[in-house]
Amino acid sequence: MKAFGKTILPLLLLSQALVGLARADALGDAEALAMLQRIAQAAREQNYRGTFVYQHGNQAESSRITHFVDRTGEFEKLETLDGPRREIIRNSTEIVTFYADTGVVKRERRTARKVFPALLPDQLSVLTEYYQLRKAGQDRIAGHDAQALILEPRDQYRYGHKLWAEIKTGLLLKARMLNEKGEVMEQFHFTEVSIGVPVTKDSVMPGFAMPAPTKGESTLAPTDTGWAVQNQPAGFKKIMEMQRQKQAGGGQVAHLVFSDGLAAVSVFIEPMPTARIVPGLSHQGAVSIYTRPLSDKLITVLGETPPVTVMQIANSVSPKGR
Amino acid sequence: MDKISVLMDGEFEPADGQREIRRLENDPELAQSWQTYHLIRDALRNELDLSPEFSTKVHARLELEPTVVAPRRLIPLPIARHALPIAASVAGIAVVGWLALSSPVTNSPMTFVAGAGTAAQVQQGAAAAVPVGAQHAGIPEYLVAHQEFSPSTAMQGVVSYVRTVSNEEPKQNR
Repeated sequence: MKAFGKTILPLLLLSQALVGLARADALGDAEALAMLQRIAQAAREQNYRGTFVYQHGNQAESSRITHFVDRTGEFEKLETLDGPRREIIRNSTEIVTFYADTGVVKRERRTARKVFPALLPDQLSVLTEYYQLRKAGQDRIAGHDAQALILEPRDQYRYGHKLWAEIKTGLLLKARMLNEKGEVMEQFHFTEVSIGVPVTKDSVMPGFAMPAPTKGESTLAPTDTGWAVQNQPAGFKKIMEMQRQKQAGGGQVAHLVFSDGLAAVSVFIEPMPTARIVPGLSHQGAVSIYTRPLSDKLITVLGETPPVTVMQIANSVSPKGR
Repeated sequence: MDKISVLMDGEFEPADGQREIRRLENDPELAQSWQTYHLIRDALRNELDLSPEFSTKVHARLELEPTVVAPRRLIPLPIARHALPIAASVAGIAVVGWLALSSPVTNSPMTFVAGAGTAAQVQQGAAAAVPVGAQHAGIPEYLVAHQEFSPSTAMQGVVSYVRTVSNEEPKQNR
């Protein structure tokens, strides 16, 4: 307990100030934001297929990814190569997950809203308030030349990011998330990838029998849920609010999303299940998950942030106007 | 802000400390900073196992403690009037401090049974009540729903959805 306030906290603040001063390679806001925009644009507009490794904790799993785009939209397919075979199909209306080991198919409707670039420009100016952006060196990733970009958080409510973008197209070849001790929380890393190659639509078709969509289903629309978060960490703005239907005959769930432009935190509010619930913190990769009861409701908050962020948000959820 | 740090380190003269504690009691914003500082420190030490509302709950329990009725002194001592609330505050802080010290970076999560009360019922591990975080059946579905709004998806497309099919089951924290 001792010496924290006097020593560690000022040190933290001081080190941030020094870092700010010493950065000759700190990017101008405009240039940094342009780099991020280019990464997002490449993810949408390039045809590519490759194999990437997802590392989290002491685990590593490889998957194959195919991205195809034409006038009718984007089509993506992800197939896991290690462990149980699983497949994700994503298009403009839904995300379908196929669990080959159990034969289960899960559908998730997408939201009627453009995440990028509609979200980004106004969020981007906020981004530089909470992250220090700077260019790092060039590197070779999966046989391609890449430019590295570092986003260092200015407080304890977010993780640091290091991104490697392919130089010609801007496609993200490697992405790493780091905690305040510099430990890697999660990493995505292409081991081989072909960019701008002709990809046929067949290669993004599901390798399983796709159930017909339920009639009358469309994308989800934003609604007022009657819930609010009073005390989220600075920089996290509400970007979405909606009601969703829990699968397997579950009830209505309120879903609020907060983002600082680089990380997002989702809040789910549902009726309390019958089992006894106590607050609990867990994580999956870099995603922190915190669950707590609130009178007759169960609050679940998750996001790719440190635990303190999801906990602070979960602890300030309340019905609107109270 | 500086004063909170000094207070956290316990380096105030008693009289100054009392004044600071009174300020904390009267200024919700300051009290919030006090809590946040502790949260930061706990996060740095990987000791985020207690609910951030823990001290609130302890205080709520203290409120419920029966009041001991005793004959009044004829001449009330000014110090005695302040001693009790301060002692209570310090006791609350001491309990938190003691808990933090007595659980040196263990891997088993600490569970605070909401509403159950006293420090004796703060448990190591999941003896009586199981934290829902790891088992909550809705979490895989929520991970997928969340992914759509994550900027990582905007930058990586469906690649970031690998989190939702990863072989790993959500883990309880450290």
